[in-house]
Amino acid sequence: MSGINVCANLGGNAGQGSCEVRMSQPKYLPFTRGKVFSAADIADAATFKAALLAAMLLARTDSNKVFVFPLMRVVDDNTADPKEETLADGYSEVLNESLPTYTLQSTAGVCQNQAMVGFNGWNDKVFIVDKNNIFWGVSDGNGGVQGFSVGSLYTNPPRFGNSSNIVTSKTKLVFGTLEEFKSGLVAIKIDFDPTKLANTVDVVLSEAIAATGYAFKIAGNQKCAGTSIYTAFRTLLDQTGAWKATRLDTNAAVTVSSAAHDDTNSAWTVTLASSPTIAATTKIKIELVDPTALAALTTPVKGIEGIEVIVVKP
Amino acid sequence: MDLKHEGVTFNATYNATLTEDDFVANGLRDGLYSNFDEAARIKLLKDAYKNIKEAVTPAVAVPPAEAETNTATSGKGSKKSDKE
Repeated sequence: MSGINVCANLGGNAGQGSCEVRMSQPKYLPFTRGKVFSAADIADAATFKAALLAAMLLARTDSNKVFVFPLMRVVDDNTADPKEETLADGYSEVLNESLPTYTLQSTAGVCQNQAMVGFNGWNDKVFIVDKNNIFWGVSDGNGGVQGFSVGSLYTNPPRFGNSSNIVTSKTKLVFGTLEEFKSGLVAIKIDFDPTKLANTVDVVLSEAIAATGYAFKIAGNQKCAGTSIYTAFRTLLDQTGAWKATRLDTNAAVTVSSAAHDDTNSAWTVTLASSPTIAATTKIKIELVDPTALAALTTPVKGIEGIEVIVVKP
Repeated sequence: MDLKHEGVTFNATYNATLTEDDFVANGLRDGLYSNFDEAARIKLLKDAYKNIKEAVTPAVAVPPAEAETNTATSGKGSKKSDKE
């Protein structure tokens, strides 16, 4: 009686293929919860660039959004050696493989560092762009590419330096599984810096002064730096399509009737439609449309994603 | 679609559904053009409303001119080719 022949599936030819590529040190870390680039997305370099940009412009709550960490200047491979056991007669065997573990150093400013800290505990996916500008991921089985599983992610908060070393932010990345490195790797050569595709910062919206009728005075400040965005976006946010409003009591959308910049208050006057009538004391959420929609306006608005403000109808 | 008038960008699609009186009343209530006196504000709002209506009103199609008809009178028409 023949047994199961494991040799049929154990090992394979180890010759060099016609298109070999080596992994080098990670340079950029594009994180995502669930973005998968389809085969069509990666058909050619230009299409992939557009697909990556589109993913970076999605709202922060969209699971397909891609967030790119800043340039990693120094990378240490902290992957532990596999655990081996040796018998008395000298026979040894690898018992446990170690998950790839890296410490990456960037020279991000305080605000960007704090934003990176906001990803601590991330255990979704990450793509890798290495120093040879190769975008790495894992095959999705349908000709597309998905991110590597993340086991753990930690970046230290901002801290003071010393007189001996350059201050860096250290990001420790532990991959979630070694299996994704054993087969199905996808490598895409890119000719662009992903951090230059979209540089989006969070902007906190607030009421500059009390509302009048259906007109609300909305100011915007960068979340971390606190800098007003009024000067830079003064006329860009005059577009009614840049804003949206929602009643909190009914979740009904409210039409934006007009928008205008207000130099006196360094804010925008966002006027809502008064039909149907909105009763006094009604709470309304006023926000910017998501980055994708902002970029698609008649005059594109780029670089910001708003955090909504809750206003009360006077 | 947006329409900009003297520093205020109006949602033309929505505001065109209002009557002029309602549009002006809303503008006064909501403080639009508040840097001006009331008479000037009313004029600005009325001008804005006029522009809004013009922007959203579809252009009237101009019918094509009637085609000229060829009249079959003697001496006119294409030359006959000479026969050999």
